[in-house]
Amino acid sequence: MSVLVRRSFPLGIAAIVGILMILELFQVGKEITSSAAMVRDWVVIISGFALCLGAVHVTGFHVNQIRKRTAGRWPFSIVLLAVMFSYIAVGVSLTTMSGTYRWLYDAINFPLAQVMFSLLAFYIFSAAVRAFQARNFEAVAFLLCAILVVIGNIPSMPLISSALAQIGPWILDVPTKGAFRGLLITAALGIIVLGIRTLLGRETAYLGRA
Amino acid sequence: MSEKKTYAERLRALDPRAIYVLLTLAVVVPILFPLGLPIQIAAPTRDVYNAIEGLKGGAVWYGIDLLAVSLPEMMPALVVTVRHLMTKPVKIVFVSFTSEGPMYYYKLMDQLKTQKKYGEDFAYLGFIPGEETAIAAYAHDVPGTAKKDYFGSPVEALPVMKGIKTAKDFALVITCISLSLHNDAYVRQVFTPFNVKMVQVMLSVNYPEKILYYPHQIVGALNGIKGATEYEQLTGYLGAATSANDAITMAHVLLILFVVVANIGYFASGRKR
Amino acid sequence: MLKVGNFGTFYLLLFLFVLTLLSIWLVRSKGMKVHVRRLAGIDAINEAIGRATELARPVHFTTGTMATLYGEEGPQILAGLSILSHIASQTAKYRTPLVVTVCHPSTLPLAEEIVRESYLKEGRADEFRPDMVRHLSTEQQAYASGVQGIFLREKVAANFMIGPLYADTLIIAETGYRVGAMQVGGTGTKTVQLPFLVAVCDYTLIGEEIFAAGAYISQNPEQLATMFAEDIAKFAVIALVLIGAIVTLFSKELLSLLKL
Repeated sequence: MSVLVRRSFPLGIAAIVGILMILELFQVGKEITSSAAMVRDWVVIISGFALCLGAVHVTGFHVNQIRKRTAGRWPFSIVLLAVMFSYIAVGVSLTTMSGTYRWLYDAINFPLAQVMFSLLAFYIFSAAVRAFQARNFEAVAFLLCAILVVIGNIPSMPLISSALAQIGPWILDVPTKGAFRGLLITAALGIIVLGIRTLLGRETAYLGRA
Repeated sequence: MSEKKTYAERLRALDPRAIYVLLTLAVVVPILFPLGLPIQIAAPTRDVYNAIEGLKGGAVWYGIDLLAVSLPEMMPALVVTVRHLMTKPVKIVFVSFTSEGPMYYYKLMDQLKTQKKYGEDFAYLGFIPGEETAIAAYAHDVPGTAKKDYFGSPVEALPVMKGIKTAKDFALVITCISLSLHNDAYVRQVFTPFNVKMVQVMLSVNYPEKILYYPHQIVGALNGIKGATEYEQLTGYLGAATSANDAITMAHVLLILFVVVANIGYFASGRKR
Repeated sequence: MLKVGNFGTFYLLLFLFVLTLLSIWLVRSKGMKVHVRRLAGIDAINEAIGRATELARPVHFTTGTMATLYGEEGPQILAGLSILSHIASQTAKYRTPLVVTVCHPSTLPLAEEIVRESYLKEGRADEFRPDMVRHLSTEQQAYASGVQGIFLREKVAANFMIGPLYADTLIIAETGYRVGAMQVGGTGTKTVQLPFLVAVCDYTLIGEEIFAAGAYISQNPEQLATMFAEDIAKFAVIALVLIGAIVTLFSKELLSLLKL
């Protein structure tokens, strides 16, 4: 494929659409606003196709695992495909408002998602015990701040010691907020400059050529 | 030849399995045998209570923007705030901008068993896809964006939707949010253009970052399960959050203990790394 | 025409645009050299891949979950993918197994193309396999459990998590620790995940270091020029914050007069 097709066209499309969306932000005219709305609709349509692509990819990958009888994996691939297609079949035939679909969600999705999320609590503990050791100055600062914030987070602590309970929230309200705001401002500047690079055609990561 | 670990080294590198077993006990035992530990109500929680208590009429936009993973943490807050809202003379318009929102709506209705009439006192407009774009569209044109409710009835036919055109027509906006993106989206697309009174129920993990918006952009905030516990105490509707309060306290205390023990082991083992 | 409320946005964009063009001009025409300070996390990439090569165990890369390429956090995903290009080049060069997992399928074709191009550039096109890039699930926790499975089965030796990271970060990172992987984590705006990354990962890229990484790796003068433009903008922000702090300290009325 020529350079024009592989490089110039995508860069041109990205630049034109980018400028359109920026102009829409400033509401320069009805035509711009309606064009931008149309582009947003296209994004929704493309994202729908992307979800289909994901389903096709997952199906292809796991069918391959079953075909190759990959040790320790192929039985789980059968289970995955069976569950995936059951959901699709029920959702399409009975709609997502049906009792059956809701039962599937309540019986499978909710509990599994919550189990995975609850693992965070256990992992936080093991990570904290490892990380909060006073190896050097930064580690001591990390440790002290963490302990004080945890103490401040205990629901009953204000009634035990109001002074101790206020330090943690102060750490969150003052230095942490300031640090987060600084990080967000610099990250936002980075994002804007990345956008400008994209508009200028200097950013080619999305062409698969970073 | 493997070195035998000293007690100090064992304390310093605690077996994760022991940590997990003790954590499980610290959480399960207080739930089964409540200790009744007292709690202090935080200012953002009290402000949420005051915002709802101060409603004298009008409509409330209630966003059920939750993901499946947040059920244990957010369901108590969702139930207690809606229960409180339903004691006020307000119309409630529920809507979701996450695909799992409808599942939460069903669970909410199952738990509430309200006497209020659907269509007259409250309605659910279902899931509107599009993330921030959808929130913006809804805020600018409620009946235009949600033409039908979740059950297929035209929105114009619902008495509860009478007089509601934009976000400005709501006396209060309440959202239960799992995805931190939505915290910002609501502030950008609802508060900034319309200056509507807004409160947010947030996941505890997002609270330190998103509480930045309090008290200017949002007038109150609930901090996950802890906020739900405080809210249950304020309203008197004791539920799942109150029973979790003791477990939260014990888990926090256990974490501090583990960290102290690990540091004792670190110093006692005489190692620098 | 321009809405009054958007003037601030307009001037900011104009300022940054002009600054960027100026920086690129200075680099191109005046030969200005821009130096980026050492980013330990990026330098560690080669070390981690080298370690994985010696152990003959795979390298894993992810840009995180939940965020989509066309959403607000798309730029962070792009920043992560620019680092993937470097990682894929290295794994192609040293013939280290590579596993790239994606959560949202919109990233899938892009990640696949980046890995394929990198292998092609290193002359190892025949060693590229499409199943190097895997879409596990759009559901966050399902994705995290899928990555855990990959780590435990394939005994990953190096883990790179760069992009908009959500709650699954700690699950993945902790599992990486369990299997003995060397880990580099980085996120732009998801600041609440930073403590987890700092606690568990060997190296962390904080905030806009992930946006600088692409320029740092490529040493492309024009990309480095945009870093220079960002730094000038940061100084301007610092100046504004200091002015605002002083004004707030001394006169509340003056502040309300200055309110744009």
